[in-house]
Amino acid sequence: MAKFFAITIILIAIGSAIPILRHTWWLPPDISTHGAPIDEQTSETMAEAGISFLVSQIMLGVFVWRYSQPRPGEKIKNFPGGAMAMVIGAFLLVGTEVLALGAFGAKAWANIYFTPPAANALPVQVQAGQFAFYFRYPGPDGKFGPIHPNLINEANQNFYGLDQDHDADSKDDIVTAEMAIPVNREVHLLMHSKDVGHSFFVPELRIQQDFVPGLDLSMHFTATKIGRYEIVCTQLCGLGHYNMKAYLSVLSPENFEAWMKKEAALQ
Amino acid sequence: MRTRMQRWSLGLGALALVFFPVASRAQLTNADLDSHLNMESHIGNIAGHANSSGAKYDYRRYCVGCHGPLGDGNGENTPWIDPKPRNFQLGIFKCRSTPTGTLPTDEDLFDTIARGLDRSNMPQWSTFTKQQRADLVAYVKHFSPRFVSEKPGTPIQIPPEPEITADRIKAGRDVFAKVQCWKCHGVTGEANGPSASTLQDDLNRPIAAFNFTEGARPKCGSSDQDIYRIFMTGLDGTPMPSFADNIKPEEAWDLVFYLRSLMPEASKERAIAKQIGLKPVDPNAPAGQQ
Amino acid sequence: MRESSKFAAVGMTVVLLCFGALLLNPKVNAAGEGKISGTVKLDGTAPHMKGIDMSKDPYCVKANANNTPHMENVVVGSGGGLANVVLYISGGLSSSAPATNVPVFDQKNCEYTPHVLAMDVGQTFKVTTSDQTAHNIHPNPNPMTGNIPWNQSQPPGAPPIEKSWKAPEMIEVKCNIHPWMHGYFAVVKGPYATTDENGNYTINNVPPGNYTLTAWQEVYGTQTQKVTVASGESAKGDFTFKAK
Repeated sequence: MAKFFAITIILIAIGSAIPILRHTWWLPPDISTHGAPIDEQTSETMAEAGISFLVSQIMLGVFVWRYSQPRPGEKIKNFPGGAMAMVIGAFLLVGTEVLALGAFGAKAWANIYFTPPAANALPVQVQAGQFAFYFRYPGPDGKFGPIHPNLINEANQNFYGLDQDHDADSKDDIVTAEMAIPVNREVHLLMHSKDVGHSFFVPELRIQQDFVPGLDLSMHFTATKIGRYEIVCTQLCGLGHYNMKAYLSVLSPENFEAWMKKEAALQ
Repeated sequence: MRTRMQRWSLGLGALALVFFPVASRAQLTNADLDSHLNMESHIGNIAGHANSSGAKYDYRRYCVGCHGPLGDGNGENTPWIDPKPRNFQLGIFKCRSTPTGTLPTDEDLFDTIARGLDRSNMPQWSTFTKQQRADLVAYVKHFSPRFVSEKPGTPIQIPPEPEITADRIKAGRDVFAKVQCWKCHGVTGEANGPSASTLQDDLNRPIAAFNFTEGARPKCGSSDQDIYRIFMTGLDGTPMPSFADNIKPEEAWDLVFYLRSLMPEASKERAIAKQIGLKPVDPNAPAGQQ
Repeated sequence: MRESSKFAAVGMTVVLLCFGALLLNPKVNAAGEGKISGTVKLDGTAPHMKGIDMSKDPYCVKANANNTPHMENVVVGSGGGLANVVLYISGGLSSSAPATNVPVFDQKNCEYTPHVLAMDVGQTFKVTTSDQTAHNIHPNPNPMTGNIPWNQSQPPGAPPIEKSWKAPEMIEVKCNIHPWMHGYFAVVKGPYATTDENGNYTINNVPPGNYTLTAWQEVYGTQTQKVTVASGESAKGDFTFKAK
């Protein structure tokens, strides 16, 4: 029985490592300029945790196999140094591993969160609300008009609560249900929630940021590949959360201009 | 205009007309409600009374936390639950055997209390005796002036259930395509249709369409007859309309069978659909060419 | 006088009095009716009506390929005339039967035509669909007024729906499938009219009398004025709403 257990546990350990090694259910290819450090961090984490996992499981299997039925006259040996030494050893081993990951990861994190957006980044605002994302572009004046929450009226297509008749800065704002950005140009994403917590997740961009009600948050990124990607809500926000998504189109600069013109005409 | 009385009443009438467009959903007061306490209910040979001590006690003990002391859905729990509890004062109910825009029968309310509403905070009140439930039905009715002046609608006729055949399931799929259920419910019934994310109820609160694929029980009953009733009477107060004018009774049974085939529980419909390799409807194909 | 002559005299007087009462009583179907006509204008800059993104439904996008659909809350014509304003008599009319025509509310190119449908309490109206995409017609009155909300589907090719309303109310109608679609059933009592794209209207079949005339617009609310209608003549009732 013990030998069966030993073999099973080693097989399970190896079996669960295989899809990770083969990237069977991996993130889609990265299309962002800051994606590479993130992916590296992910791989390192998998590697370090994976190696520790495999080693410990195999050792467990070996020990169970070897010592489940002690040979006659065999004495049980102790870990050199005793239990205290084992605990301290484990502490140092795991602690070092985690600290190392933290140290390397801090750089990947800072790369995204502690660098300011470029001065000429394209500002795009996104508002998350039950259960849709709406996007706003500042228009030719480059300014976002003020938001009046009491004017928000979905039936009238006024998703942001803009007063385009009285606020000069709002007059040329462009509100859309789909997000489009030009390729290879930094985007400064300004985020706020209309109601409860939501999250903005585009796996290809390696971006996932929660909307916290009451906070104005911002992210910046640059997309490097033209295509159409899904933006999904990844923070439970109510009964319609499962269906809450929008689309991000990364376009060539000419197509982006054409898209902006088309959307502006619709305002 | 001759008499002073006429002048006054017309003046007031004019004022009323002016204010009607801006009238909020006026709440009834305790005095209004108390005048309806003689409300009765009749289910089979059981008679319920709103003014019975049982009705008052049970409502206070079990219902007031969500539905509120005035029956307007403003109980203490209301801010934290979704979907919101029913406002009985409006007299608008989802689960009915009667056409859209009409009142439910006593039996509809009786059944709803027992069945509860799956995936909501309304429990299955199987602990009540039939008499308790009948009294509560009368008590629920007393909250709305509609029950005083209006009779319930005439329950729709449901023809006997035919045999489940592959042809019927295929015909049901055509109905699903023709009346475009997929716009909200999605082509697989997963409630991910193009209009699903912006659905709002009558009070402009977000509301989700029913997801046939996740094993939930439809709120208004999970028997074949219940499903028939749901789309032939509509769920008042929600975006779900009545299809009574657009689906013939025979077609309605076909649609029930197709909907069953979308639901994950093992059923004859599901087995047959799998056997014939039935695919989801194609939203881009015209109705006749599915 | 002889008994029979007395009887005849009294009878004739009664009959004459009745006729007189009938003639003086301002019922809608009496002879010598007048009209009320006028123009409703908007003073100030009309609010910008947003364009509608119909991409939820490719049929709607195709149906509107040649024109950009806009919201219709405030529709102002070239001369500053305000369209879709409902004019009705809110005071002075002692009784009236509902008009007998059957106004039609159509769903065309994923919008409601007309945007506001005026009708009398008890008047039958029809809802039709000219679109090849499914709609549902969902009026949402306040049940406390006596008007009960209902919700019916209208898939492509569906027959018209005939209904009527019990109480005067400005009832919002919407389609749950197409969230930008919304209009009004303006339920009033007595003769009514709706302004056209130039803000002009004519209320016909108004018996002579002194009335309070009300103009209602969905954003700007109501305004009233007194009008006097003489037999066979057209009284003037102009209104000006101020832009916010």
